[in-house]
Amino acid sequence: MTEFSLEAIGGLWQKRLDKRRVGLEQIDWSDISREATPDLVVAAREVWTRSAFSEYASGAAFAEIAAHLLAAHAPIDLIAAAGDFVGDEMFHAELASRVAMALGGALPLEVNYEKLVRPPSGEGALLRAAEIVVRSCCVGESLTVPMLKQARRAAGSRTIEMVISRILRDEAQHAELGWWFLDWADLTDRDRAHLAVVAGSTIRSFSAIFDRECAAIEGLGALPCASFDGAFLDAVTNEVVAPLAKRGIVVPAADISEQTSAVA
Amino acid sequence: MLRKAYSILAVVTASASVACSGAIDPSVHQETRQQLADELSNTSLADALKHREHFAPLCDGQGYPLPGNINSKGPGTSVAEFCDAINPPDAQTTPKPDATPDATSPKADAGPDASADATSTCDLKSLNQELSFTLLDDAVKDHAHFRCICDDQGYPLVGNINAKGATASQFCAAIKEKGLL
Repeated sequence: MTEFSLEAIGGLWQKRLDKRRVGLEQIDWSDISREATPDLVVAAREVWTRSAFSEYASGAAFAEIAAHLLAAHAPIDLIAAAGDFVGDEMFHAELASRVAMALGGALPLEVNYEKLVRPPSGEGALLRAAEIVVRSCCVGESLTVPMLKQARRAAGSRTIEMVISRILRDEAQHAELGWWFLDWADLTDRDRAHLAVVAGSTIRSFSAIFDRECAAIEGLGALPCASFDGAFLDAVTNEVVAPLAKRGIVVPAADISEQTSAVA
Repeated sequence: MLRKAYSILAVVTASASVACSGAIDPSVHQETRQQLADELSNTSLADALKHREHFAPLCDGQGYPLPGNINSKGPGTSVAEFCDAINPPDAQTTPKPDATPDATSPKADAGPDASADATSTCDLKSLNQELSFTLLDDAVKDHAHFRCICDDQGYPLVGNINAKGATASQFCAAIKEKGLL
């Protein structure tokens, strides 16, 4: 385990990333210190430290997705998009880092860089690709979009709103890749049954979130349970379970009800 | 030649921070905390506890080190040790910061504890807390007790708690390595 931190090397590589930074020059990072209230700062530093890691790990997920799409002989524009999304996620990690640093620095977070993505277990390249796409895009990224919107509504900070808006510009496509892949892939009923279990266990894995105590107040990216839980459950139903069912992937009801009872 | 990279995210030292140090707690200036942390790092834990009011500004109301980012390297007490000592877990009435729902946390495929199956018969939270105050060797000896915080592939079903004992990741990796899964 290693304490989470990020570095950049600069030079031409920074210039290359600059292409993604359009709009960033409008953000005045020093505004955060004026907008932050003392009671929110520690919680917000925690949120944005975790967010930076989450974005970094999503970059790892898309790198894996790109490799599995290549092995599955997927359409090349989908493969290119998955590779491109790694760059998006690195930029998002940078944005989250800048917020955390503007709030006073990251909080210590131990991570395992060698276990960022759970390897898929399905048989055959197509099913393995589908498995990791379902977990990362159809579930993870699909849930991220509505939760980010909720956090933006409650941000109470113009700077945080701009950061979340910039991240949101990319995230919708990240989720969409999953649906396009599933619409392309020639899956069997057995494959779909396997993917339903995968989706269900991914949804259930979020129970850990509901095990945590709630933030007392909202703002700067942090959400109290009253704002978080309902929005999250709605997103599970509308953004994940329903579109999967439309594609013949029916998430076991027990996995959904476990989420509901975890909130209750 | 080794090319140097520059830091864009770090657990910062007080002197390197911060755009909003005043926003954290206006009553205690960050330099003062640094001085206190330096002083603490040259003070034994027993002596620090005798003067707990003096060092108390180093911790927040949740037993969490406010400058958890000040790395003073004296032979005495670390900020984390002191804050733990004045706020033993049983006495804490409010959660540590990892309790805050994270707006982007659904992107969890991504995290080591993300793709896990939580079992309904396992009290993950309390076991995780217990583990955080149990040495790794002791936890491995008692692996059956803590087993349900790991999935069948050695991934933790819970987040890591940084305290004096083992983290979930360390425990799960250890029992996987020893073939105890």
